[in-house]
Amino acid sequence: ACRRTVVSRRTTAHARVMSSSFAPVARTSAFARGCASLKASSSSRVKAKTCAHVAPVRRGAVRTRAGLVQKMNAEELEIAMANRDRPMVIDFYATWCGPCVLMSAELEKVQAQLGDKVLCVKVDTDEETDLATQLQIQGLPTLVFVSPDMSKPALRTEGMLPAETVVSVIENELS
Amino acid sequence: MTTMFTTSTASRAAIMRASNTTRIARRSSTTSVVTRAAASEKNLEVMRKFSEQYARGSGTYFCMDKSVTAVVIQGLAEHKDTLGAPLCPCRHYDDKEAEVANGFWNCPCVPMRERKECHCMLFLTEDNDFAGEEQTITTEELIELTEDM
Repeated sequence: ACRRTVVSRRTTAHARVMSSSFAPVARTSAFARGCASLKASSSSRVKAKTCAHVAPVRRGAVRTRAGLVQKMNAEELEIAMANRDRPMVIDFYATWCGPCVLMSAELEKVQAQLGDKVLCVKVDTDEETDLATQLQIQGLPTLVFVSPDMSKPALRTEGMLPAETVVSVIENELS
Repeated sequence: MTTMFTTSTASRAAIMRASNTTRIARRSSTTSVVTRAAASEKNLEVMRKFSEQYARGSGTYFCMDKSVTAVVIQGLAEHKDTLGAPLCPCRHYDDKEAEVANGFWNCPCVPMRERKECHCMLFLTEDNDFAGEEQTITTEELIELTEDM
């Protein structure tokens, strides 16, 4: 058995991300109001970055089976947001992001639990690089919660959230 | 104006243990997405060995669900293939080449080196509720845990 080194008790980045996901939730006001243009917000949690085009990463064959959470590209997302009649949760992820795998599973549970009361979708940030850059997506996964009420600001979190927390945000903040 | 949400990391870890009856696939059992070619064998082995060595050296542990570990190592290896450096796979970048040159997010990233903070959940301190008890992962595990991706 490996010998354990006693480490000082400190909050790890993951736990801090988690706690910041549970604690401060940035209100991305521009995201909801500017859904047609999907421009980045001026939230204090978001830093402005130079939007350089990212070189495409090597891709293999694509094989998909549909689940409850629909994958969308930027155009589909814009249409969905413009026509939304229920809260939306947008999961910005990358294929080889470990916590994104967990978040994806949790979001499937959320969609299964809430059914038509919410629309959960996912966006691959490696495919939709321009959109991710415009929205100043940084850490993954990033969840964006959008209310059907156009006047309400969108919320965003970084890090994996359990399904129960996502449901709580939807029910308490978006509905 | 911000909103506070509170929940314990223990409850999140419990959720993970309850749902981890088998290894977690990229999606739930009803959905599967394969979108990326796997990394080269050479860099996969390089990053696997690095991960094991760094975990030992830093006194951190792999996630209790090693599919998370496997996914991240694949991501690191893929970035090493395409960019020449293991750029953190759990972030979006405006310019990956510039980020590689900058070095901040090359694994082990600065937050990990300075504060043992790994948001990829690759290296977890002992007190993290998601930390398992292992600091090793075999090549077979790497491949098996990511074969449906």
